[in-house]
Amino acid sequence: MVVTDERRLESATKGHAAKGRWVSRSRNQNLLIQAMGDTLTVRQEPPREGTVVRDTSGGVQREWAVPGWHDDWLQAVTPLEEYHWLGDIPAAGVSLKDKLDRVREVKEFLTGRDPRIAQVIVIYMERIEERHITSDAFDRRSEVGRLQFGAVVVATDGTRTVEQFEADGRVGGFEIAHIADERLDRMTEKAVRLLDAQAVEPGEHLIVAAPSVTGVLAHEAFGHGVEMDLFLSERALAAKKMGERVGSPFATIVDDPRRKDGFGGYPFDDDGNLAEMHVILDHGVLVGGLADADVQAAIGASPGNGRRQDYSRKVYPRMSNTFFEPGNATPEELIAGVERGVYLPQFESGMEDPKSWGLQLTVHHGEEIQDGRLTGRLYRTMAMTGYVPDVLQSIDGASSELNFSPGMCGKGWKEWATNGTGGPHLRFRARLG
Amino acid sequence: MGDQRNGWAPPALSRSARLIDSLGHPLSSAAEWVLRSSASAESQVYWRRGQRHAEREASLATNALTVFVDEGDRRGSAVAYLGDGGPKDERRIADAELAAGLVLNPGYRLPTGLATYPSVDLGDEPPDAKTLQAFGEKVQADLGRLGVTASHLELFSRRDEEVLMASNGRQHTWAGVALETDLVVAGGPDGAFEQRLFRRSRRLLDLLPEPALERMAEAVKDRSAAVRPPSGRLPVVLPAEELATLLDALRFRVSAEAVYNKIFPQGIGERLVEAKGDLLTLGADPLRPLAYSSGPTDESTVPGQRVSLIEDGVIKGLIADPQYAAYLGIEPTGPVGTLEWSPGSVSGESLLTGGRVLEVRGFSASMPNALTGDFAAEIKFGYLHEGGRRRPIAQGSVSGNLVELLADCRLSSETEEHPGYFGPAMVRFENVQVAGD
Repeated sequence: MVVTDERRLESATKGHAAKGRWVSRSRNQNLLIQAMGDTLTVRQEPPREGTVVRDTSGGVQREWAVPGWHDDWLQAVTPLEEYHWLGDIPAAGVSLKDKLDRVREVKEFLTGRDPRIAQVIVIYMERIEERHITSDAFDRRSEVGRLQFGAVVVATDGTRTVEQFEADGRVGGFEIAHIADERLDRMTEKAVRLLDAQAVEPGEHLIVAAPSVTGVLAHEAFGHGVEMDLFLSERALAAKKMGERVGSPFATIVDDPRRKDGFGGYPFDDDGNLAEMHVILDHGVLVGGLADADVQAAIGASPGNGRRQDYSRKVYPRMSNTFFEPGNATPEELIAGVERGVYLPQFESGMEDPKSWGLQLTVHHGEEIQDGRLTGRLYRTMAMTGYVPDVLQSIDGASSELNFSPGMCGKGWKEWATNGTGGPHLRFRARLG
Repeated sequence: MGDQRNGWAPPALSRSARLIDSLGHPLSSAAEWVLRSSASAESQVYWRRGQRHAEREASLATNALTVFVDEGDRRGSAVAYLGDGGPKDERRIADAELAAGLVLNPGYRLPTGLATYPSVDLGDEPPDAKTLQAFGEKVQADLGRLGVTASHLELFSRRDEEVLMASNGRQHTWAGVALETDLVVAGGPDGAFEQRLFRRSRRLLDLLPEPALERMAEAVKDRSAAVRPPSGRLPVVLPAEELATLLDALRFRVSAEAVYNKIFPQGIGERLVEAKGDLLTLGADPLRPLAYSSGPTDESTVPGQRVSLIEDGVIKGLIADPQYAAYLGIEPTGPVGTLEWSPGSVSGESLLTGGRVLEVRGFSASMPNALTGDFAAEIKFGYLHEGGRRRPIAQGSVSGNLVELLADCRLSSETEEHPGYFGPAMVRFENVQVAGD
């Protein structure tokens, strides 16, 4: 029976806490508010509160994970460090009524703006992550708030259905739950225009990509490929390419968990190691990777990127906020330099290919560029593919702004972690279809 | 009634009943409530390149109490996650009742009357860590005999126990096994190519069967000879694993929630797609023995039952919980379970003939948009069939719209089962946009 196993597991775990001297307590609380049609839904996911004990003696990392926050299982021998990243207006201090009112405001603004808009969906997602990790070397406690706020409009002409979304998300609190009216208006107008979008002509194109897309490019093309557990399993081409030029001088990719303007920031990772910025690609040269404590023990890499979905899952090297560094141009200058090409304003999804460095992004939609201007002709959802070094070496311009998009990232199809992806506008060549 | 026989209740049910009894007073202002208690224990084993490098034992426990609050003809609901009773839980319930009062929607009720819950085979005892280790060693040895290497293997084995109790007098308890694997196989010159497989099942013998390993090995070995596909509009044949992902995007389209909110143009009695090829017939079955998605009840105490969703392209039924069922004036359907797609009448082999045909063995990742049906995905590996021969292909991409594709497709007579899917082993879609060379 599970209950009996639970009790045995709990007592075995408690014994190991004293011996192994590494204990982690964590709690993830998610609140989701969704308004769609005339219904409002508030959903709280089960708080994943649990305690993990780790033993790394014997060459195999062993963990025991049980429900509950067990502060008494290991006494600290170093002073407590505390971190509270809850934003200007901590979400826990805002009433549910105020949160619902914010959702309703946006829904009312969007409803009825165009007869072709079939439905409006507004989503508020709030996440509070608490950690307390104790070992012989440190005693660290954190509270990190993350918030994502967005809207989707669904348009139909009776035959086709399209959607357009706008969302913001980063570390912080209720101050994030806002989208400017102008953005909402542009979203509605774009959704209606998407009803006439056509398929892009398959082939290689000159592309100007917005931060929403360039961020996912950094994340999928390189971020996953330098998660260094893949080096240990010989799954990463990057392991053989360290120190080599694989991109143009415009291509600098960084992972920085210390940033609160990205959705994936944190003060210390799930191994308890303090967050550090890691440069992955330095003006086109591959220089670094991302490691957790396990990889650090194996090959001495600098840790700080160990993350787990929740206490019931293992820690892996993961990205946090991964982005291209900005350049000096403006987006308009980048577009003006394109005789014939495609502007990509918004991503849809992506998947990593660390072994072959194949690029696999799905882009939500695109817009034709001709003679240095956007023509207004829209393209439907398309795949962006190619060989990553070819794409990165073709980057010949970067704009000066830096913007992040929020997301959830899997290791393959599981182990979900919060992420920020970002960058400036970039101009490069890739295959679309 | 439920699982009570002669006054005896299983231990898990007793604990939940005691929890509810202890909270009697704080619950008195809720119009209705549902308590779902879940407990699970899991073994996890991890290998990289044949070396076992990590092991975990994890347990989870949740008591989710949904409270329903009525104000006039409107109802709100919210969830409180409880411990073992006591003042903290009383406060959590009070907070949930307050929250429920703030999210009032058009009214509905839980189903009334006692229910008979179906018996569903969800697996016996899960393999323990030692058995998982032995299984993992065997899989890696089998891959070695096929001439490839497992660069990464994870095996998870879990037992879940669930208890459902509600204010309408319904209660049920059930247990099941959940197995999961993430396998990456490397092969080809210097192990340059890899294939990844993520699978779930309720039995170890279904998790990584020999044919699945053989297909992975074939893909990595042929990958070195692969070229990009030609660009243009081609017939494309997809395997069951990819069809399972595509079809899942239809779930929302045949839900009462989507129809009530008028997300899509079609509703019950209307044709989803005007088909030139095989017509679409789709059902939902939560009672398939040993299917990963099976279960005896949904979270609103509605027993599982088989539901006909689409017949010959016409929407006949909708997946509905009590809330949206009440809004549309239909019966709630219970859990979704496995989407069952009626097969066709021709062999899968025959779908690969007749001119140039692109057979996709797997996409890198296809994530069709549930609202629009649009998708675009890179081809991880496949074959281009022409004139009785086949040539390995990789990269390039396939894009389109799911509903448009279903308008012109042919289904194999052979069937396969994957989590959430039972249906044709292969489907040929005509005139699909392929981007390659």
